[in-house]
Amino acid sequence: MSTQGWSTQQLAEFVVAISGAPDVLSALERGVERAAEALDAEVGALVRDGAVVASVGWPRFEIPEVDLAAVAAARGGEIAIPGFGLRPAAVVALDDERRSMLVLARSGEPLDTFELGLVRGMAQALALTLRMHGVIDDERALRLRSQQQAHENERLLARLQERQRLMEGLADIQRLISHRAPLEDILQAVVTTASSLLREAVVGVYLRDRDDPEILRGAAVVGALDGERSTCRLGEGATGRAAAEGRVVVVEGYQQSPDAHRRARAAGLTACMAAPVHEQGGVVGAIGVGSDRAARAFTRAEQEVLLTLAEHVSLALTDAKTVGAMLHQALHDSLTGLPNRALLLDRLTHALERRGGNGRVGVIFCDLDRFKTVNDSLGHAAGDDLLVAVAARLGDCLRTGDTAARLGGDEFALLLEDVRGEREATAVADRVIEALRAPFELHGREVHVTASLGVVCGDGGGEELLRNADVAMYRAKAAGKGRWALFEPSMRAEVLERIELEADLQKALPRGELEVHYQPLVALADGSLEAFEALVRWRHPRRGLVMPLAFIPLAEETGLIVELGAWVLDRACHQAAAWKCAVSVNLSARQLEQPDLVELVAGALRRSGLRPDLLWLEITETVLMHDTEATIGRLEALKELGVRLAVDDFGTGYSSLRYLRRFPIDLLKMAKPFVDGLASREGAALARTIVELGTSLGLRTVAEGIEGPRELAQLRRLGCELGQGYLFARPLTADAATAWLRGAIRRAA
Amino acid sequence: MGTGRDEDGDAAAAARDACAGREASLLLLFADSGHALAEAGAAAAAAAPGATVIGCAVSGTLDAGGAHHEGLLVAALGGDDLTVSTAAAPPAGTLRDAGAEAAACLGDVAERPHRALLLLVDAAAGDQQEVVRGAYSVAGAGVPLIGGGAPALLHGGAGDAGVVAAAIGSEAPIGVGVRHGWVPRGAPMLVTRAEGRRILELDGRPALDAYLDRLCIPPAGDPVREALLALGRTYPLGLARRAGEAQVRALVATDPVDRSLTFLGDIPQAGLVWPMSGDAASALEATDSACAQAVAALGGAAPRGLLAFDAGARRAALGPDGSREEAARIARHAAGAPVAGGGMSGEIARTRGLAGFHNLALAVLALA
Repeated sequence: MSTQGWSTQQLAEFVVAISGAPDVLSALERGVERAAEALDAEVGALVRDGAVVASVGWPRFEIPEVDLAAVAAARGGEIAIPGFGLRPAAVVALDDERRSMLVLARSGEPLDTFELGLVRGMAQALALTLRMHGVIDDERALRLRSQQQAHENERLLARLQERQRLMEGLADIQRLISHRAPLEDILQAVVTTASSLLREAVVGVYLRDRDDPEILRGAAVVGALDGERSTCRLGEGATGRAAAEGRVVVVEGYQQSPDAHRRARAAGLTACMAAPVHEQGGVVGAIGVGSDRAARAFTRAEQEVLLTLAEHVSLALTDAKTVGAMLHQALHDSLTGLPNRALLLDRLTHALERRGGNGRVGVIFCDLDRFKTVNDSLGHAAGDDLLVAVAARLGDCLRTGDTAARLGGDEFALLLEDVRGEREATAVADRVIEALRAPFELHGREVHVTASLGVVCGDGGGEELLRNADVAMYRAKAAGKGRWALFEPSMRAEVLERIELEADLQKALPRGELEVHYQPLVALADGSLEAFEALVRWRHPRRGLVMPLAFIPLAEETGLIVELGAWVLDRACHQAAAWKCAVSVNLSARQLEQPDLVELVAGALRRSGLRPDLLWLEITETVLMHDTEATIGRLEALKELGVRLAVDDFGTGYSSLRYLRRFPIDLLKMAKPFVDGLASREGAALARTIVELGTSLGLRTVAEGIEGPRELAQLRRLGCELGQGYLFARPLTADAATAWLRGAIRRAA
Repeated sequence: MGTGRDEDGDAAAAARDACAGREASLLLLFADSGHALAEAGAAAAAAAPGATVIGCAVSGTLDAGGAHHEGLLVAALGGDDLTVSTAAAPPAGTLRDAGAEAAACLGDVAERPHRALLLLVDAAAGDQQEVVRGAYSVAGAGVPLIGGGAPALLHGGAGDAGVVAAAIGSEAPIGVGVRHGWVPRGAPMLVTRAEGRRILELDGRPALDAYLDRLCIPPAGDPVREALLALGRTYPLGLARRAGEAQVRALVATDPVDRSLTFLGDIPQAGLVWPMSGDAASALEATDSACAQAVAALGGAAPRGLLAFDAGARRAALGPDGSREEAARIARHAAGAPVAGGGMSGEIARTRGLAGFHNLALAVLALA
């Protein structure tokens, strides 16, 4: 949140907090305390006529009254904070008759310009509260004297009742302001209160016209002098002069006055008074009262009432502006400027109400696939830049009238108004996927991202549509990312299942439900054992044996993969050390991002006593695609340990020679589809290319998923060195693998 | 400082272990719910004559040996370079006054160069921030505050205490640290109507509905909602502060009739709030930061003991493994010195500024 946004929020909180104080002293104490809290200041004080009337942060009998008075008088200087020593004090005047000063000091860095502005706003609000309470105090003093003057009692009682009405009227207005009632309602309450308190029929709040600042327009008026919406010129009449001169103007003997307003004089007004109203410090208009009573004179107390009401108008105007800014802030994402979830839902609800007879509303939920990687590897600033760039591209994919919103994190949503069918919505989804295809330039680097999209069309509730789009997005993500999926009701059950599975998975490791299975990798020439590939299996208490495809992606997403991967690595190393044979272990993208990966592998080797060259680490091709300096550094450090590196599923990503040269790789694992495709001429040619590529780069090649003797023969002919698959053995439990190993040794003997 | 623990809740045995033959000035008792605080206090006092006994009922305890869900833990503080004075304020009257009244015991340790005020506040009594404000008005900026929300006891004090305080004065530095580790999630919401700890409206809508919608929690009866709730996926709200971590307020109750939300601390009307999210990793990171902050304030001196006031809900969310890990991390920062702590409902820690009341956080006191 920006400092400015933070400030306006603190001011609103402050006004609400002090307006509820029951008396002057508690208003002052609360004001000083809340101001200090908001600014992280350890100490604060209110100094009035040179005396400390409220303070916070000093032990009760150790308040530095002399120093505070000096700082207040000099409007600055240093003040001692207990435990921290002398610190610069921020001093702001309250703009009241008693020359009150609000003093704050903190141990951290001194207050900046924005914060000083906030303190000034707080001081203004505090002065207003004091003025209101001051009116009551004066009345109390009068009442005391009146007890000695019995004949005045009746008159004073009437005045007291009047004051009571003033307080009630002001309380009503404050309630409206703090409850954020519409500005028109607040201004109307102000003029009605003024009319009733001053017993005058003509009252108006006049504000400068936005287009012509020389004109004041009636924003709230009672007893308008003319039928139309009333206006007056700046500098003309009492109201015009109050607005032009920024001070209270009282005109008695109005009919004879040279600057009487023409229509007011015609209406027979005998006296007028007006007080200026401000918005964020500048005069923007005035509140005026007119009387037609003969020889009317406004008393000092009546002028005070008008001034107090004018200050309430100022507070309401300033607050309305703040609320406007806050509302925009509350409804928009500060980073991308797009509408946020609240605004999207609002528009969605309206779109659903508006839609034509057969029209439906489409929602696309969009989640970036590799955002965390970008954030982790390039930093949060780059992550933020990426979100802004994505927001811009999403905007380009929309039709007129549609809305793009950021829901938070890397989640976006698109609202498509009045779509005729699903095809229209999926066409937009296609455009989004296409629009994100081109790389993003971030901090001098090219970054590729994809998004998973969930599409839904319907006419139900807004929340429901958004939720269903979210559900479909999960399906798209599970189906391999970088694609869209159209919502179907059955998907909700899947999501539920997913949540359950996630909860179970979190407990699987501590409960010992995970097992490592081993599949032999053999030399294709003679069938001799070269290594075992370690594969994790989950023996779920209700579901039975769960295959990796069903839970590894989930573990990847939740980050559990790091812990799980470390456990598999440890087990596999121990087992391989016992067998004195090589073992191949999969490393996930998340694990590769861990700064302590090299330490982890070294630890597993050390604990198990396994020779480093007997540990093969498998990395998928797609992980290498998104290489970063840190990844390369880690892989090189792993190589220095002496372990072997293999590229898993080779050929399924964007095959590129670039990274094969760039990374210190020892083995290529040819993905199963190439082995399956050997039967066709093209397939065989592809497999040959891979093997030749490996040979030319000096890498050993492993064929995955060999199921039949014909495939084996072909691979041998192509010169592929190693292989694994059901033809040789399925993945086996550790015990079964031990037995298999014994058999293999016997067979060899 | 020394600690003693008894699995079966034998306070006398735990107190004897904590003192280990030395004379203690203060015994601080962490009793897991299920043990009667008053009886435990009396037993501990009998076992350590000369020591003042204060105690609190906590959800789970922790010491250098790990996190425990049963039993009773005693920390004994003493030595020539340490002075302790205690006070209790009844739950009647305002909490602010109770905080100020209890803090007055600081006067007894005024001659020591380093001081701290330990506060135990019965969370059921109301807004603990008010207690902190009251205590601060007496203690001032020079004295760190520490403690938390839990039913509290001052042995020998008169009946129920709303606030129990212990002023600690020492010749050696005292450090306080606090962190929660939660981060804001998405865009803020405007508090359009609030009364104290209760939010009635958010963004102009009934608070409960706005909160559920915002977090995309489906309505009642939807199985997805039940699954989410079963996973403990509710989110606290955060209030923006000028610097550092947002101020977290834990959700303690929802009212399905008036659609309001009640939090552990005040939420100001007209403020902006964020739903906050966190996980075990961020909570443990916060553990390290809180301990490091407390120990760093000792100015290079080795800690003689750490007192940890940990949010009960935080411990629950961490689970047995996470709590164990947390205790181990705190012990690592203690570097061989004893550790004692318990699960609170609201944590108190003030070192800078005025904000001293925290939720779902870990507050640590380090004694050199």
